[in-house]
Amino acid sequence: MWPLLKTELDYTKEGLVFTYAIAVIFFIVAAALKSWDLFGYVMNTSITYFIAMAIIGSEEDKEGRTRHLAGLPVTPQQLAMLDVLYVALFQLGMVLLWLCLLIFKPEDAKPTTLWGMLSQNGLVLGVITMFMIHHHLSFFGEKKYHLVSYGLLLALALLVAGLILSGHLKAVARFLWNSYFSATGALASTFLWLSLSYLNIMIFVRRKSYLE
Amino acid sequence: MPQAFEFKNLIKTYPDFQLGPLNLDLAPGTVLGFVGPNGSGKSTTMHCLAGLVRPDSGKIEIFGHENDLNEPAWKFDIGYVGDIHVFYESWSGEKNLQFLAQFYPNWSHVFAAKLAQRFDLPLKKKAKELSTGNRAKLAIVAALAHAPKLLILDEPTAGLDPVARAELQDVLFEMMADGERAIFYSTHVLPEISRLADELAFLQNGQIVLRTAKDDLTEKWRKITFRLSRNNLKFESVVSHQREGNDYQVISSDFEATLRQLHELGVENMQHSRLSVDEIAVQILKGEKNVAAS
Repeated sequence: MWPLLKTELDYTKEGLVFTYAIAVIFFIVAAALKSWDLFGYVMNTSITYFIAMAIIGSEEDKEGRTRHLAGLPVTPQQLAMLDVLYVALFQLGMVLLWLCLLIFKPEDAKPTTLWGMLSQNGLVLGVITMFMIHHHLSFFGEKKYHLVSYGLLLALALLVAGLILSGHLKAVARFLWNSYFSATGALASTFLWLSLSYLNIMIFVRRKSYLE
Repeated sequence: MPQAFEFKNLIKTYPDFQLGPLNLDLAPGTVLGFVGPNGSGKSTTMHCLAGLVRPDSGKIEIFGHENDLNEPAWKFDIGYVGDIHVFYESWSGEKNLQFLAQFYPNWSHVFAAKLAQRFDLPLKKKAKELSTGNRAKLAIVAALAHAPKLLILDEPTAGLDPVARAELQDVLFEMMADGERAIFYSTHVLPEISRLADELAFLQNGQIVLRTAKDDLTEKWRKITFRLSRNNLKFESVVSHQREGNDYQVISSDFEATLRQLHELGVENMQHSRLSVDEIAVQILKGEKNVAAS
């Protein structure tokens, strides 16, 4: 698996360097400007990361990387782990930048900030993993399993609509916001990411086809 | 000695197509031409064999080992040229080969370079800049460089120029020289396999309609013309016939049997000629029911 990970990082290095370069530009601006707090930077880099992952992922699909690698003498578990490690390593670079910014913004170095960073890290990786799961479900079988993802989105939309109609949205949003900056929120989002990653691996190794 | 591969009751079902139940094997030292029209299931069979698609049921063994994706050591023994050639597109052919070399202990850089030279393949060019033919050549070099014992070739000459086609045939002949390797070669272009194949398997609508030694096929199948004044006759082993008055032209899948019957019927002006493998394939795939019954 390590040769695969090394290869993927090497092959996408231009994209990674470009993304980190943008993140560093934001870093300099955030460090220079008092009005930019740490979480402004965290959100900015998270959006940059999502855009970069979308481009890298679509390039990978276009080139038929799964098909290419599935032909090699490696197990599906190794291929699934490759994806999990790749997105995590890429995101780890962003987390390091977040931590570095604390040097320039010592006033933000509070436990709540660190919990918030961990929460954000779990959320970002969790969302990316959900996209990966959605993609793999398309190859899970002949039935349209990927419709499950749309079903979940619909359920989420209905839940939000229900909260709005019942007048509980504000209270729930406040609860989530407070949790985000707490140890509970950080643990929950990390647990969510790890659980989704496990699910992603399970789905990948059970795919009926590795042709794309 | 175990078979190079063996399908046991393999079934793969799609909403509008079913492959199998398929029972097929290949002995080492043999080239099996896998012939069938588009959509007959050739690529699906090869995808299952290469471990890219999971069958719904049945078993596949490669040199006696199940092609279990979780125990992929069997992949060291296979070289696969698929219906689509996938590479790291922004890397040169050379770098793509270097990447692949990490996974195969038997990989020979010298042999890969020699093959590339024989195919006149520009290895320094990025994969995305290669022509269709050169992509096919790169895929062939990638599949052969670790000297696999089983070569799975899915329409490998698609896009190749005649010189490269001939070169590939020569390379494959050389590979077969030690008598231990096997080639499973899918195509719908018969002339390219007729030189190389020892045996032919014909696939139609996901089913093997005929498996035979190539020499038997060309020996047994004949076109026969004759004159006969009787009507409503059923000819032995005839897969197709045309009649104009008392003049008949039939194609027989068992020349000897048909000939015996025609002699008994007392036909006149009888002449017969051999058919090319191409012509036979057309007859087989057009009239699968007759052939299967024969």
